[in-house]
Amino acid sequence: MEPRRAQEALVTPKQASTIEQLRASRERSPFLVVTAVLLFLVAAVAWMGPTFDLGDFASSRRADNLVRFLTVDAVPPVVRDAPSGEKLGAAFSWAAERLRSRYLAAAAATLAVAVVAAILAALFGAALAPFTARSIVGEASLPRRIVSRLSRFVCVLLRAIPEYMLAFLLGALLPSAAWACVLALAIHNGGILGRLYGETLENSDQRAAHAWFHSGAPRSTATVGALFPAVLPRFLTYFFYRLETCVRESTVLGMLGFVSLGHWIVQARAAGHYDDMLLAFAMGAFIVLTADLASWFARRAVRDAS
Amino acid sequence: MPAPRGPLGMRALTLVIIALAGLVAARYLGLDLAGVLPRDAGKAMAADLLGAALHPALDYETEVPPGTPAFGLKILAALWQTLLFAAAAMSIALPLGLALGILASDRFWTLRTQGTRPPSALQRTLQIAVRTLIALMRSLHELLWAVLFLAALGLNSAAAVISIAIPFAGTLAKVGSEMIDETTTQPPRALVGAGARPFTALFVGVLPAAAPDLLSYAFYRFECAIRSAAVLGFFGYPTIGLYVAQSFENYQLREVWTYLYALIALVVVVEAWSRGVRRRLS
Repeated sequence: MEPRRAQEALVTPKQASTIEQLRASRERSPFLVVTAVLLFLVAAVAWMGPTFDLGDFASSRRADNLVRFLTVDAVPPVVRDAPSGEKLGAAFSWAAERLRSRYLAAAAATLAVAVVAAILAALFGAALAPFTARSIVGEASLPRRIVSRLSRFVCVLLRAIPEYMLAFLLGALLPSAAWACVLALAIHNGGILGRLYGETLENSDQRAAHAWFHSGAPRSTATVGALFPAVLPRFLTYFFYRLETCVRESTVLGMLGFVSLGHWIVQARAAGHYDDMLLAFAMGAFIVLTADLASWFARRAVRDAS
Repeated sequence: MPAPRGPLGMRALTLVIIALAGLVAARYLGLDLAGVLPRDAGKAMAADLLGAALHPALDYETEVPPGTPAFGLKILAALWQTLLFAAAAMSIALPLGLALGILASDRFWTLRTQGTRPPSALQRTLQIAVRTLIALMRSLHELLWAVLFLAALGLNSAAAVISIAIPFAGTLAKVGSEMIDETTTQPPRALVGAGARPFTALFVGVLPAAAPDLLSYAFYRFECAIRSAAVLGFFGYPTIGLYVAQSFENYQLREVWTYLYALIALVVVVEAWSRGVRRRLS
């Protein structure tokens, strides 16, 4: 009660009416209110409707499944059979053997897919950027705005289909499963980067490019020669962010049949070897965290250099 | 006089390292240019698939058992299910991500002292524990969480929703804590100076400043949640991915395209909506 009384003493009636006036005249958007109400309703329908059976989720059958999973399925047989004093050692040698024979190579393939895909996506995005930018080197005419609108829409289309679905479709068509994964990631992320890179060009310092243009260089030359070097740090920063998501995404694309971590996860699950599956999960989490860390260092280095 | 420049060496070095990593990775995967184009059987299928893109199915391609809902209704129902999974996941991820994001931010832990003395060892430990939790939640892809729950619990749609919510909450928390730390320090300082409690300073002086960016980002994540929900169909949940996979396996390529176009339309609508929200928030 104490702070409340203090607060009342702090505000005079006149101030209170000013505050009330400010509150009444604040900007309100019906669109935002409708959006919030709609989203809330959809979420409420989702939880209260028949879609999600929470009773089943909390049922004893699920709990039994969980207990069996944790105590039986998730424990490697060699560890279960080892005498109680040697369980830890058995677990280590089992994990080391699996890493050597499978998961290190699989993790390398997973990373390699992500790296190639992120590079292709960045090149693709950089090629799209001069088109998606609303204004570039002084040019903001009507045709320019139409081109920008259209190419932004193309970017939305490129990112609309999830990577996993793209990889599924491309995997059926292409002779190389690795290419299917790489292209799926490159198309999706290229769409995202095309948009982001375009916005970066719009908001960048265009004075150097203007100088080139006014001393006779074609607009395209001024863009590539003077604008791209100026925005390189920003482009690199976004590249590293997308590289992080590519690594994350790449861990699951192998589920479609390409020999990387996802492939071993599917194999282990099909065979009911949940111990193997969990080890592959751990390997996946490890490379995702490593990639995040590496990307953080790289982004900081780029930022400090510019 | 030329403008002072940072050492270009660092940037050039970064580009060279990226290019080298790309070459090594491509070599390791055995990528060659011939692999980009379909061969043999893939060629015929690619032609079929591209042809089907121009003629998406407007009705079932083959005879369906009586009692099957009309094709249009089936698509709408699949889209609705996809939306429900995404909205349910976001309804967990948003509050959880916000709470974790506040606990992970530097701003929250310095509210009381306003930076006059560093947070205590206990506070620091708590913050690091939350940050570690966030990193772990994010480290597994939502599909891996889904597979984990499938293995541990069996097929259950609530578990599928939670499997999307966990990494999404982690990502919202990570980005949210950065946005909270980027807000200006004056309002909370003034509030605390006038005797406000730290939580009041947080809710009145910090969160409103971060809210527009946070909500814009949350809306973008909702779009991502729709895509993730769609892919869950590949694992047997009744979202649109299930029908894409089924139609593809039955080689009903025109139906595949209809489902893909429906998903694309949903994402385009949500993206346009999200643009409207962002414009009004900024």
